[in-house]
Amino acid sequence: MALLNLRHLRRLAMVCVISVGCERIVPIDSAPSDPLLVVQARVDVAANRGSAPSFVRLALTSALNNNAGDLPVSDALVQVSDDSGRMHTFAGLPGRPGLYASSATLAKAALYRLRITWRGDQYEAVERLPRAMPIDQLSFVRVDGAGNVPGSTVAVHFTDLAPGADFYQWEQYTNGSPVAMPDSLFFDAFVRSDSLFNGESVSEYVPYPYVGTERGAQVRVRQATVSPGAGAYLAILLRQRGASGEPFARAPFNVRGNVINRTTPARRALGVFAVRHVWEATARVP
Amino acid sequence: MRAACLLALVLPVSALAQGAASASLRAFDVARDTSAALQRRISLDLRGLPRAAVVDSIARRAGLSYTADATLPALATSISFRATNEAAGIALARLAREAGLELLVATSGSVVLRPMTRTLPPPAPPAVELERTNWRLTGRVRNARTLEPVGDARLSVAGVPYTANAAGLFSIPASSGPLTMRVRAMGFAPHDTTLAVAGHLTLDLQLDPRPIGLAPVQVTDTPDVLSDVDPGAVAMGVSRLAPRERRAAPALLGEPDPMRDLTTLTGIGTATDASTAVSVRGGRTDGNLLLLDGAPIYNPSHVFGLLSTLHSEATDVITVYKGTAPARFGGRLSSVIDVRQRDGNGRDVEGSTSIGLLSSRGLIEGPVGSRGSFMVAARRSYADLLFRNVVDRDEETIAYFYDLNGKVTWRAGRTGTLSASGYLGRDQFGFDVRNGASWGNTAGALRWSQVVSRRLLSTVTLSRGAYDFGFLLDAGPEDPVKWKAAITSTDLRVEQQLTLRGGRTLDFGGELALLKVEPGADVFGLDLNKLKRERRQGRSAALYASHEIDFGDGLALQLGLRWAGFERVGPATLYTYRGPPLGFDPAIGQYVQGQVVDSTSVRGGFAGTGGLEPRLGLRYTLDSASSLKISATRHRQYLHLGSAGAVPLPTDVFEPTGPWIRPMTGDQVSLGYARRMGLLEWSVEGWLRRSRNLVEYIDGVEVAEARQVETVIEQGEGRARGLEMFLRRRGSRGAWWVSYTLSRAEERFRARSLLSDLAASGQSGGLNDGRWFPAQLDRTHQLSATGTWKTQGRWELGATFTATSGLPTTLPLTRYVVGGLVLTEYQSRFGGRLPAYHRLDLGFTRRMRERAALQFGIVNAYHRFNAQFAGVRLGPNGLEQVQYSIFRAAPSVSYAWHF
Repeated sequence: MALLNLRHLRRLAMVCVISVGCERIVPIDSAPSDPLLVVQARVDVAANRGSAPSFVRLALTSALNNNAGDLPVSDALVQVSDDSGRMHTFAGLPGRPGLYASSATLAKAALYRLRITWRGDQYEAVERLPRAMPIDQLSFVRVDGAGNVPGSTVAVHFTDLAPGADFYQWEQYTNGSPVAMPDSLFFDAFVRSDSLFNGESVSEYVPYPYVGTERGAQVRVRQATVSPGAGAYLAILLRQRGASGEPFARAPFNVRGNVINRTTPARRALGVFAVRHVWEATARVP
Repeated sequence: MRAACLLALVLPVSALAQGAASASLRAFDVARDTSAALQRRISLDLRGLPRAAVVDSIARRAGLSYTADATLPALATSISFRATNEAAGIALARLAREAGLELLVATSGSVVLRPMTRTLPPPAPPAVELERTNWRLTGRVRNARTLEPVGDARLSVAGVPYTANAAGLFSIPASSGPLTMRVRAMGFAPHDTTLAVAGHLTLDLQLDPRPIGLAPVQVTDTPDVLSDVDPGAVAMGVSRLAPRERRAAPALLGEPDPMRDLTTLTGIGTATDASTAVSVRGGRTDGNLLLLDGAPIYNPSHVFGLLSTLHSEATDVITVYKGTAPARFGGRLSSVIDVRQRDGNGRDVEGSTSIGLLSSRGLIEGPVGSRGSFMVAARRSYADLLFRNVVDRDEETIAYFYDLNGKVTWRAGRTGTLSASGYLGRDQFGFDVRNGASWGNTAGALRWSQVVSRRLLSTVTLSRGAYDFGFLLDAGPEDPVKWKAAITSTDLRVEQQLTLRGGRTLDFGGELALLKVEPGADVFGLDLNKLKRERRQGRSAALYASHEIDFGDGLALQLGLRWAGFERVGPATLYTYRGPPLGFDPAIGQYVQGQVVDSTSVRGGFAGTGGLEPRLGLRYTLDSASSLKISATRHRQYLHLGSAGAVPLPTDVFEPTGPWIRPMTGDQVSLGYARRMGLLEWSVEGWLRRSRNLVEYIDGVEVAEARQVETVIEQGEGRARGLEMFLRRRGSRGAWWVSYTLSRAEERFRARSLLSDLAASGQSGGLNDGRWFPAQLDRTHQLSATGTWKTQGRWELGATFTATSGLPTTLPLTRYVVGGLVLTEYQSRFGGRLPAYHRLDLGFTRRMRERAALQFGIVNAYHRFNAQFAGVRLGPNGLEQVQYSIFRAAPSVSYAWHF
């Protein structure tokens, strides 16, 4: 979170500059280009208990001034296999264009391969199952400060394993219901790197800073270790939005995921294939 | 005329001459003999002789050596003069007073006859047979009004050029006989005199400063004044700005800023209007070494870069070496910006103060005893005071910066100077005492400069520069954060200048430096985690020698060689990776960070590196007013700045060369022509530069987050070329200068390690797919025209017109959604350009009284929208592209007075 605040500081600088300057919206005059396939694929593997459905969402890039939402791709063949020879075909969900899911829970394996066949091109991504990090303890801190919903926030205590880069995501369920961030979009993309605590004991607040949990509530926390390729991708994803061309931000850049086009490499796919290893823990708010 | 020439001739009597002939004669012996000679009683009765002959006779009887201008008309007048048992000094003073002259006896012992008011034009050098050639002229050059040393003054003795050192000291070989000495220094009237030399002389040369008032436009220089366009100098790519010329440029919001003023010179531009960080010849902002009295200032900015840390009144001449720094400088690829603080007035206590829209400034200076001087300057902004008292009384907003500058100078002996200078500046920015950021620089230098022998000038400087940044955000128990980062360096530098025969000098010396970088430490709330990134320490050493040879016939050569080395010092952790620490996978088109498999702790030195940095300059003088010049230089840089964007920010992280990061090197070749035509001077200079091992962070990385920096850094190459034209005219009531630069700077970062099998098929990768792209601060055209004018009345006017090409920008191509985030796919890196930039700044100064002035200014007078950067954002109607300008028309008013 410190680094997020570093970015906040830059934004503060930006506010200072803009407060004495001015801005002008200019027409977007980008040359038309062939749409690219955008892949959002997530496979969850349970480490100790429970499971979550895996899904794949396919869409296309669109013009900058397209405000009608993304363009779903519903006619693709989506398959996920593992190094044990198991293969799962993801079927498109009725009424959810572009969304594919598997009816079966994926078993634990060392390596998973995503294959998408669409309009003659075959796309592929390979990710290894990351190590799951057991949760040692859940603790609660009373939050009554201004701007917070009164109650307790939960902290996760665990030990990060060294060496290697690990990426974490946390999900919280209170009395069986998922606790969403005020900005649910942020929730999907948020990922925490262990670059600053690699191999150390860690105490991390589950990132719902504005939501307190009532006394006596049953809290379930899912700590997902994200495969490195996907974790790095998600970490960069947030930064691209900060790299907007402002003088206090990094130069704009393109984010590249781990999905490649085997048939026509130049027509790359955007997006990511993530494999998550999930450890769950429950506790009651004292 | 013959008599006049004779007058300037040598008058030493045997005692002095014999003493002078002794190699052991020391400077203070000369002064002591002078004093005795002036008190020696004489008797004479002369009639109908030129006054020159009378002076000559007195001096001969007293055994006195002196200096006078042989062409003074008063000396040619025939007079009768009688003295009976009268002290020679009194007799001379009486004689001088009758002729409208004054007799000056400097503390150095030199005796000078000169007009009461000011120096006359230079005399023609007398043709005299040289008798001996082993005398020495040593001494110092000072400001006649304030007694401050005048650094880097150009001296010419019998037509042979020399240069005083930064402390104004010089040691020059001389022959017996009358010698013409010419002294030139920027901002001072030319000083020409004839010396009667028959022994070693210690001189105290005092130059008359050009009239400098509060107003920005009192420019009265003549073409003789040393300037950038100096056909006689071998050095190229050197720009200087004197305080008077800096003040001529209209200031942003009435806040004079020396760093912004530099952008009126060729090849220098700021990153944006919001920044005083400069890019020199398309180079990066971290390629500039800013030295304040020899101490480095690592982040010379206030208010996130809007203003620089340089106090305009406290700084003296600023010299910029644009990729052509002399061998005594090193450590940066683009430029060295050598800033000297003023030494302070050695005669009288005086001061100045100014009240502006952003800040108020003050300066006080004066003598310290009879041999020293001091200067103290301060500045503070008051945005927070205004906000709290005017806008919202309940807020605890903290938003201010301050500077403190100080310097004490002490003349040690007759030819030595000891000075101590310091700087302290800090920004405070926050919403209250528990949520905010603070950053600042401290710098100090202790310098001793001394003529240690008849041939050797020595300067020893011990300096320290430090910068730190920290913030505290205490939004709540779940996310309070402290952050602190710092860089500190301590440097010991020895510079020697050995004067050889025939106008040749050999400069040599060396430096040792210790570097300590704290890349940043997090302390999370409730002490749940304390995360600290490892400190980087290093030490560097350098040796240099530089020799300038004037072959005559207009040909001069400057040879320099510098060796610089750097090594990291433990304790430190070295990591071993499975494969390279950073590789590029062409299959997916992105970098992949290496996996750490082992680590070891080291103490002592490691990862040492070093190399030679040759410097070569050649000048061919076509005639007395023009010359052709060629130079070739190499520079090495061991310290890199991990900047988040084009503009350096307080949060930026310094990273020294290490086991995985190679030092940057830059080679530059220049060809130039300089000419003076009366009051007009102009120059043309073309240059080419190649850089290697430039450092760039891979896309999307958070610099401050990387514990193993080698996993996020790519190194590449740069190429730049340019043509610079400079034209200046100085007149009695104004001046104007125009600078134009046509240039192109590009960079390429090809992946050093390819991870995929596709690499074998010839694919490459890297930033921008490993292709060349424009440097972030590349500007094709850069034009700046500045003019100043003083009216007959009380008004003084100044104007600056600036026009440049738009900065490179990366244009968006398409959009898509991942994880609920709307993302943008971009075209090639910096493949587009912002619209062209131009603006007109105007400044008006009204003298209120003799020592006060009211200054008005307006920046961007015609209110143009100058796009400084462009971005894409999610607006109410979807993605939109936005261009930002920093300011439209920005008027200002300030009041200043001297006391």
